[in-house]
Amino acid sequence: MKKQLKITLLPNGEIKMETKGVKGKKCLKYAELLEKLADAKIEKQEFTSEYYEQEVEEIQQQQNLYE
Amino acid sequence: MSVSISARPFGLLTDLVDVIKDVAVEDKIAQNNFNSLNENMKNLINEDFQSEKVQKVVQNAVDIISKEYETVFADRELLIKTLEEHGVEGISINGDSLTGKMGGFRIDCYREKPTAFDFKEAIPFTMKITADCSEEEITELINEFNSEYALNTQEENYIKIKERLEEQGLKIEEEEVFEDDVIVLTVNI
Repeated sequence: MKKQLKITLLPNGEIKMETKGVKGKKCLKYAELLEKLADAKIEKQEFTSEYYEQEVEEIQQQQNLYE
Repeated sequence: MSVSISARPFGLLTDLVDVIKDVAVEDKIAQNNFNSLNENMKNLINEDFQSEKVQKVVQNAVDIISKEYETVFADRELLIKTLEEHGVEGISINGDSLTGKMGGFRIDCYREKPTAFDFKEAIPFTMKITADCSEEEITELINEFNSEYALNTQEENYIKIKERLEEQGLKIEEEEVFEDDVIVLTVNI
């Protein structure tokens, strides 16, 4: 899946960003990137299903290590 | 018979007319003194304008309202741009104190100096609007400033983000502008 950022600039001055195709905690680094791009501060952060998908994969990998 | 009306604190002109009528009925000489009374009436009207009641009416008719608003305008340059674009003229800038005029409105913006604890956070300006108009008109003006400042913020964010994405070597694949002024940038990472 193509990895993308969707940056939405609202007319009230707010900025929203959504990552696509980025699984797990990696997406958090893009939140930091947005802060730098816009000299802004994150007020609210929500996790999509993709954030938890990677977590499952990581847990499975850890389980495999112990087996 | 002489009539002295200055001794009585007349409130309204109608009171005076009633007195004239009463005096005229009681004493025919009073009619002859009407001219004198008329002169006194003029003085009384002038005097009456000093009364609290009339002063209040006059004040209400030309009331000058002054309202202060805590804004979210934290970027001084963006605020100046917003004021200028809206038609505020003769903006004088003295540090974090701005003053300008637009029609019958006087606009003052100021903010506290940042302390050692909030050096990273820009402090928003307080806007004071003084005008001979209704409170609703002032609220309407502040709402206009709010939406125009927000649009300028959006424009500045757009330019800044595009420039910095390019600096980071990130490519914008798609750029969409919707009818409600929402801009969506799709960036490949």
